[in-house]
Amino acid sequence: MSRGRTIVLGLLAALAVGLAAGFWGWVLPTRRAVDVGAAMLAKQVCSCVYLANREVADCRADEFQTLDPIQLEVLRDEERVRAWIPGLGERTASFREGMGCTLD
Amino acid sequence: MHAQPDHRRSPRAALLALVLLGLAASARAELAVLPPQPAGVAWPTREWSTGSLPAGLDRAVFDEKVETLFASRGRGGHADTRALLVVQDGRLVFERYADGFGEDSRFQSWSMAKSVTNALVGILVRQGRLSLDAPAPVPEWSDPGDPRAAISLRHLLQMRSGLANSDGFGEEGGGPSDLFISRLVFGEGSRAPAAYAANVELIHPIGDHWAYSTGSSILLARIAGEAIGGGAVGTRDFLRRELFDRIGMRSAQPEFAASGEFLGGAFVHASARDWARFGYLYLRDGVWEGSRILPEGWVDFSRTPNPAQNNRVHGAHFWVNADPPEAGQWKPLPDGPDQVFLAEGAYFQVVAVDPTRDLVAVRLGIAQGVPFPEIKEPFGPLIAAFPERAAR
Repeated sequence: MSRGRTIVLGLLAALAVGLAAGFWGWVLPTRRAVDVGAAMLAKQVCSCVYLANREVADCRADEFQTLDPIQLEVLRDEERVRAWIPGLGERTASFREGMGCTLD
Repeated sequence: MHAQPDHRRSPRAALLALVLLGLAASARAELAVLPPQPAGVAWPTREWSTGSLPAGLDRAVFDEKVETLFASRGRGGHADTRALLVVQDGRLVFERYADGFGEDSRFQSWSMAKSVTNALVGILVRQGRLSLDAPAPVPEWSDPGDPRAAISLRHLLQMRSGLANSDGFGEEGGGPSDLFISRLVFGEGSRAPAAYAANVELIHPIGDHWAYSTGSSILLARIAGEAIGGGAVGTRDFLRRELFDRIGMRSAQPEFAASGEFLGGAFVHASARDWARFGYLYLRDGVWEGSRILPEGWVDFSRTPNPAQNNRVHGAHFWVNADPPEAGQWKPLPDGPDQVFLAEGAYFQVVAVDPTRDLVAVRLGIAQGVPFPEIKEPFGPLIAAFPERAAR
């Protein structure tokens, strides 16, 4: 095996280890954090809008600042609130009259 | 820092202090009598009777604590405290809301829902449909020889099941979203939380160790729902018929998981006046307008410190304002009267019941300008500013 080929294989191996570590160490925890954060924001804003009759901006201001990067949409026709970060996770909460909001 | 008495100065004084402490401890073990409805005052089923602040109120302390609570502001300049109510002698004697909120506003219970779950279980015990000391009906624990089958409703209500489902479980090395509470309520457990709370190991002998566990409330809520039948709608109708409508909590809205389970750990929404009604039911020993809603002795059970040795300030899904015995523990309402028992939720939602003052005090809102637990500091002294009442 040539010296150059050894170096390339070594670099590839290091890259694979790095990607695996990144997946387990960053992507999975990040996905969980986004999943939990999006669910929290969707559920809280849904109940705040439909049960407390408050404005979306006021509802968001009550939540943790760490949730600010999460995108949010109130789907008025469906009485549903969607919270997501593109490519990382999404949760929705649905309002039903007399039953409050439920995480889908 | 609290000043420590210098016992070396006088052995006799130290002995006296010990005797007095012993007397205080034995007095604490006696629960204050729950006062009956005052003569000539209507039950607040339809409307709260109103009155003025009582003679004997320490007005300077009260005014200062009220201002402190409302002065704290969070993001967007919104007041942290949104509602503050005091009921004494059956009358609403103080009621104040922050801008944008009023008597029709609904407020989230957060963990005060656990105390609503206490009421729900109590009603089913009164009806003979659940039993406090029988093994909790949890299918996940039904295999022969499963040690978790010995967990009772009492263990769950007193949060001493020994299960690895306390709110802070999993915090070693993880972030906020790794905590058991986050995974249970908003993460992978959120669609059917009771199964998630049930499928965990025992990590302490059953009954020995207290740990704050929303999972216990979630399990109790599913057990109650199954005893009632009819899924989410059946549970909602039962809560209305047997609890909310009977005490006039017309704004109350419980919420549910996709599985149909009542989210009895954190999700009930109601107006401030209705939260005061909920506390008032417990102040009156679970009796409303002459008929019993909670079983006899249920309120005393709820406000008696649980028997686990590592926590003396939690009863059964209610907090007890006793002095904590060990370093690292806390008194739920610092500088508040020690006979107070309370429903408490995140960001300091509180319904506090004081039998010695015939009083219910409610604070609802968030905690951003002043973080939890500092936000609660004015509240104990605010209650203590009210005059005591002679047991009637």
